[in-house]
Amino acid sequence: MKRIFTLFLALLFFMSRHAYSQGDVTGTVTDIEGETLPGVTVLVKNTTNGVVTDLDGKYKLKVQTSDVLVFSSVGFKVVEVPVDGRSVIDIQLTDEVLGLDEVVVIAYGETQKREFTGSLATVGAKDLEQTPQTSPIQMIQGRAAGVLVEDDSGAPGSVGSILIRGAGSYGDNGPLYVIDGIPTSNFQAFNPNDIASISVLKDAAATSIYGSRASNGVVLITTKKGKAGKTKITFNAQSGFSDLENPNNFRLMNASEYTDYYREAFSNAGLDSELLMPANSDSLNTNWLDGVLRNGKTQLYEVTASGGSDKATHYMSASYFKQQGIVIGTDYERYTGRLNLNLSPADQLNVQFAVLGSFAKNDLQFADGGRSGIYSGSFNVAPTASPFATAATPLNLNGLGYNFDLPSNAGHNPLAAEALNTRERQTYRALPTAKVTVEPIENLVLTSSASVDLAVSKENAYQSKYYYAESDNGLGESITDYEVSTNVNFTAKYDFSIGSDHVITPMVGTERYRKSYESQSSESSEFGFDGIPGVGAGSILRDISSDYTAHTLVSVFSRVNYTFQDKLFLDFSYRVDGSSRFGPENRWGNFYSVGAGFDLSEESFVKAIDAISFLRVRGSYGIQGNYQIGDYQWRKTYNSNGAFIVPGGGNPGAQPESPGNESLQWEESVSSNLGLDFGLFKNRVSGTLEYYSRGSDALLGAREISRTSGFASFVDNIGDIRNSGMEISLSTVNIQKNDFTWSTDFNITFNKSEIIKLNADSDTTSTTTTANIKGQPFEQWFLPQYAGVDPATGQPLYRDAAGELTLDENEAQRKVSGNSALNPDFYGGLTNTLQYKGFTLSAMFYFKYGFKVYNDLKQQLSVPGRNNNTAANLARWQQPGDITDVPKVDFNDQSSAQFNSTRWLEDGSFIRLRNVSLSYLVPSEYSQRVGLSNLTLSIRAVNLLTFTEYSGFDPNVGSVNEDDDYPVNRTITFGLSASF
Amino acid sequence: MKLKYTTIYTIFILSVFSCDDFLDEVPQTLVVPEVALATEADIVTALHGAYSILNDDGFAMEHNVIADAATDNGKVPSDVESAGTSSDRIPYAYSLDLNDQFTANELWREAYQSIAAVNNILDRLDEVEFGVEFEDRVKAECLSIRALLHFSLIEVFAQDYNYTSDQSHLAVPYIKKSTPGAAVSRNTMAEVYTELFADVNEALPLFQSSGDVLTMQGYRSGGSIYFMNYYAALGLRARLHFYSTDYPSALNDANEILSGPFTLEPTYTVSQYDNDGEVGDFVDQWYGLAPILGGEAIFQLDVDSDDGNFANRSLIDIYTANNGNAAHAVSQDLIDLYEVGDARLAWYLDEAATPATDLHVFKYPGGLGINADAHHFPVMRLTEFALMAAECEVLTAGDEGRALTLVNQITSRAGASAIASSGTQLQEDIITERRKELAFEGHRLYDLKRLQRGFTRNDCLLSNGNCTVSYPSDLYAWPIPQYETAANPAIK
Repeated sequence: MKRIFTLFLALLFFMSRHAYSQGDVTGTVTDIEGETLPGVTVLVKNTTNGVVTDLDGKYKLKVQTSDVLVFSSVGFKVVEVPVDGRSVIDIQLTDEVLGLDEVVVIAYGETQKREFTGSLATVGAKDLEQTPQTSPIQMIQGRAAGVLVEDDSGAPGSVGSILIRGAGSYGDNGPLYVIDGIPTSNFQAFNPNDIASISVLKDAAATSIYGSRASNGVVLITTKKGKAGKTKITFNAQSGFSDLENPNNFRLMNASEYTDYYREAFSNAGLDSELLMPANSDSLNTNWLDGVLRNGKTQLYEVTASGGSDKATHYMSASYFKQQGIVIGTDYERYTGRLNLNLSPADQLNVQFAVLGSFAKNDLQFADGGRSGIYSGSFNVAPTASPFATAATPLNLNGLGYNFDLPSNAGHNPLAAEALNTRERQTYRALPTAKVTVEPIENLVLTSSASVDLAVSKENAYQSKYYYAESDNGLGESITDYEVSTNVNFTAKYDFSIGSDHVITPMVGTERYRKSYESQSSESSEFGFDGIPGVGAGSILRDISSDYTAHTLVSVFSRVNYTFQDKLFLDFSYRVDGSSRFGPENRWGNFYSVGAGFDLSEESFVKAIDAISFLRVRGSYGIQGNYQIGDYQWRKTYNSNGAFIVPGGGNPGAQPESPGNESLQWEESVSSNLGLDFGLFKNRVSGTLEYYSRGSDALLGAREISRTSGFASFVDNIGDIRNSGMEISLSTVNIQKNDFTWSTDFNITFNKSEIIKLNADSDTTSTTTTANIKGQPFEQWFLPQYAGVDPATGQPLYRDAAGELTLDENEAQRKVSGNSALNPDFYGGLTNTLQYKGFTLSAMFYFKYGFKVYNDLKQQLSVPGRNNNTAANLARWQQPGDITDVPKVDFNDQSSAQFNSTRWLEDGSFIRLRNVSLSYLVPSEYSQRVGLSNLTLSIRAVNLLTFTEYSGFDPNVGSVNEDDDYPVNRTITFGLSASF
Repeated sequence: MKLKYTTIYTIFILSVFSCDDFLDEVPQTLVVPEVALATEADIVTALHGAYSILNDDGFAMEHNVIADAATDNGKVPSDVESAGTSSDRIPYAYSLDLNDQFTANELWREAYQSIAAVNNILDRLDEVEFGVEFEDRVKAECLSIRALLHFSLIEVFAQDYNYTSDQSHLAVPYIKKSTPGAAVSRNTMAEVYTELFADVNEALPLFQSSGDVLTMQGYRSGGSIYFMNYYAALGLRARLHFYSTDYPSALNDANEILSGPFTLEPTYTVSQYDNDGEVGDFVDQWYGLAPILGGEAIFQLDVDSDDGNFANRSLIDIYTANNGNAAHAVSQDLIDLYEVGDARLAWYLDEAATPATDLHVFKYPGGLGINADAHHFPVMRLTEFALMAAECEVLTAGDEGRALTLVNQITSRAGASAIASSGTQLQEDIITERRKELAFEGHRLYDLKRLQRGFTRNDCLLSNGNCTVSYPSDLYAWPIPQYETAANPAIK
């Protein structure tokens, strides 16, 4: 602690001043079309002496003859101009095409991309506009090397998840999300159109300053800010529809196939098939899956206003979004409001306020998996059964006209589940932040910011008393969650130069963070009246519980950037974190990084090669941490909540909850990165080549332990993983003629994961389908090897330890059977963009190769228990001599289909046309006639086509299995954007 | 001015470090053990927590379903619905397609969980002084819970006591000190039995010296049948003797129980019950949500699945098809053993299934529709020890007349004909009566193992060869769950 203090104070008092006074320079900044540009930063190079252009693009600045002016603005190329004694310098900025000089947002500040020594992938506003997604995470898919994005679910309002440079932790592998400097995971609160850019920080030099939370990367989201100038009002409307994509025509059996199948199953079991499944059972044919699917609809309306003066700028937006899911009964509505206010009442003072507020209403399935789910339940019900009660339906199984005489699905009727049951979640979110920047002495910038991140969600559910698959006589549920995080930080930054060659920028800061989570839930049953969803309307109140957890983090951090002659860039960062998630002995962790970049473009040996227009090498090394474990895990605890009452409610009990682990310590990841950035042929071809290695030590995770201890697992530092790989990003401008541009962006990532060490008692820790094995990649499939069907008997065959065929499941040997979805051989994206006059056509292919999916939906649909089965089982073994890989169906053998093996493992590799977007900017002579400064029309599609051999709905499954969770949809959206 | 800004900022920054207790987040819905086990009341709360685990699906469901389903008493319904075959209803208990995934997963986990809970309490009693009687009683209950659960584990996971003549075959780890993360190996049957007797023999005098002090001091309510007590511990010791075929000692303990404060249920009567359209004829003495068979109850469970701790299903859910999807039915082989007019036939009900083909177990109808999963379960009742004493009298060549008196109290109250045989036939008749009376109470498999007998199921739909099991059989010692073998390299 003392060390940091000394460092901090030393930096605070180590200040030198070097200001000179001289004449003024003035000028106007315009874009390529001659429009004036407000809000452009004009800086004297290597100083913090600078201004921002006013409404008319004008600026005025005190300079010295020898100074160099730097003009920068997001979306434009940075321009450097020597003053050379002039008093008027007018400048035209050109559009930023290839991103080399782009201004990028980094931890606690921003920089130019060429000065940044770390590894970073940026997705800018233009790319984001092409992707009409509901969540910022899904917008990145295929657009950033080293970033694996999974959709997780197609349910309205779902968010998706990110894995940066492979799985480096056993627990939460997700990155740290920072929105405008505030750590948060509240994405659903956002209207994604409010996002200006997303930066993904990947290596130590980029992330170490975030210390303990950075080992799995950092995603920085920057929202749109106002620009000085006339207030611009934009109206956006989008409307679209969506359906379920089914690349390989997966289907269930129809009534006659089902009837034949079960007659065979009964007769193979020696049962009377005529009694149990009469031949005429197929008089009715219900396609239950079709019954629960529909065409979804989306709508978005949004209005934004931005503008301001040089003393104050604003950005305001309000939006309404509605999504009707592709499964009946699932809807999502969201209202958002955002205000970004930037006030500069004095030269040395800047105040920023931002408020985000949102309200979302989500209609969910009463149960979203298993037999009782609307979608998942529709797979099981016999196609021979009617959804509606008939004369033959017993009275006690006729619930408001719905048929519950459905033994194939334990009585559950998915159509009735939608019609009779409800589950609604309302979520209120608010994220107010304030940031004050002062410059008490020249070149010393002090910043303090504070924020509160608030999310309250309220869920009410009701299962009808007429939903006769359950016997509760009406079931009400109520859940309320409160999530509150507070964040306060201070930074001090000081710029100084030594001579003209050396620029040094030290920065120090501190941060405090606390996050708490509270929830309350209750249930009631035995409802007197139907359709009154309040828990209080039930006559028996039960399962009332509450939970509260919290954790805190205190940090001190520092960073020094050093630039030599504007071509050598060095930086060093250091952070100390203390967290309540670790015991007093292991609470504090130290994290640091060093990074270096060298711009070779101006070196003579590079200049000699005409083809090379830009060349830079960079490298970094450092340590980041991870504390993604539950709160209080280091403590031994007892749990005394209501679940332990014996007997009859009279005697409260308590049970050991957690064994605790005082020696628990920070998970650390040591990462190194080597990068090469290049531009060729006048930057017509540019790209980045990166090699990285990331070793995660002392991984935090639940370590399975002998149950004889009374516990299933405890949190421990359980092993080491190394991820290493190569990332290639390439951008080319293929054609650039008067009105026509064709450009291509391509990225590909090869990541290799290897488990270096496992601290568990055994070499292998495994679930029923996967295992972590020393020397193997993280979470490999680990399954008995299916070897097809014995042609003589129709029984499934497996390989035993000796590799011989066996019919005995107990002899079947579990073996490493392939990569899980987290570890594809490679993945990436290919985007082509064509522009002709006002038309822009862009298409992005996302691909992922070399991994396997466990098709447990198919497994579930192969158990012959009267539930419907996959039509793939029509190819079953039926008589001796049949050669097939689907075994005989036998009603009394339901366990062989439930036996986990490679029988259910399929290649998941795919190429997906993830986004297609066509937009048209109406020429201004037409739009101005109707009083608009800009009018854009667009058609955009998501998940239009998928090429895969996988037999299920979606090979890009978020978890490692494809189960009966909500499927990902294909969406086509029409949009209109008008500015006044 | 400028200096002021700087000073203010410096003070702000320093203030962050002035409060190190910012990092001491204390749980608000959990309790740390120094606090959790500080007082006598806390100790009792922790003790009740250990009991509550017994109500969950390991001890209360799996241990009992296995005992009947895995023998000639059980049957998978021929009108089985798919729900009944998913593994959370343990269909493999009947089909005996056992492997390390399909085994008594919950019993292993929960038994040791409860054992760890009582071990924690025993450790704490060594550290802190409480009242002498209080400490004796708590210790006695802890030791007897520990023995009861270890015994239930060896019934399922180990071969019978006499499988090897010197009891050198592997049983289960006997855990007296629970250490998270330690590798633990299996003890032999001889070692486990030594520990079982040590615990029970230590508990019995402590029960006698302390009495029901926890109720008297107001720490608990609800009656002694819900908690381990002197007679429950004695009953456990009787079982230890009985299942290790030490019949003279078993007879001694059974006799002491028979002369205790219990009376046999004098008669079984049958009535029709109707609740919300669910109708059935049930044995009155077994119906309802209150304690059943009050006069002969030694130790009962008050199971209520609403307590939320079920990983799988409650016994009643699996047996009675409250939701219309019973996973286990009753074998015709068992039904045929009852005479027409035997009141106990009302334990079995033809559920309203189409087509109706099977009988399901309605021995514990609970409230039939009111809190559908709730029921009482008799872990130990006087009848068991009457039948044990009768069998022991015959096996030790003792008083056959007494054996007949004892067993005919059981037959007569059900309205069945009296047994009049002698010698080996009498022993056989007592074993059969035990099968009929204690059916679906969690005994049959363990009796077959004790007797070193296999079984034949005539009413059997299996095609995997398990309609007949002959002794010795691997199927008499269930596989150790995969999660245990994966996490504990010392276990085999």
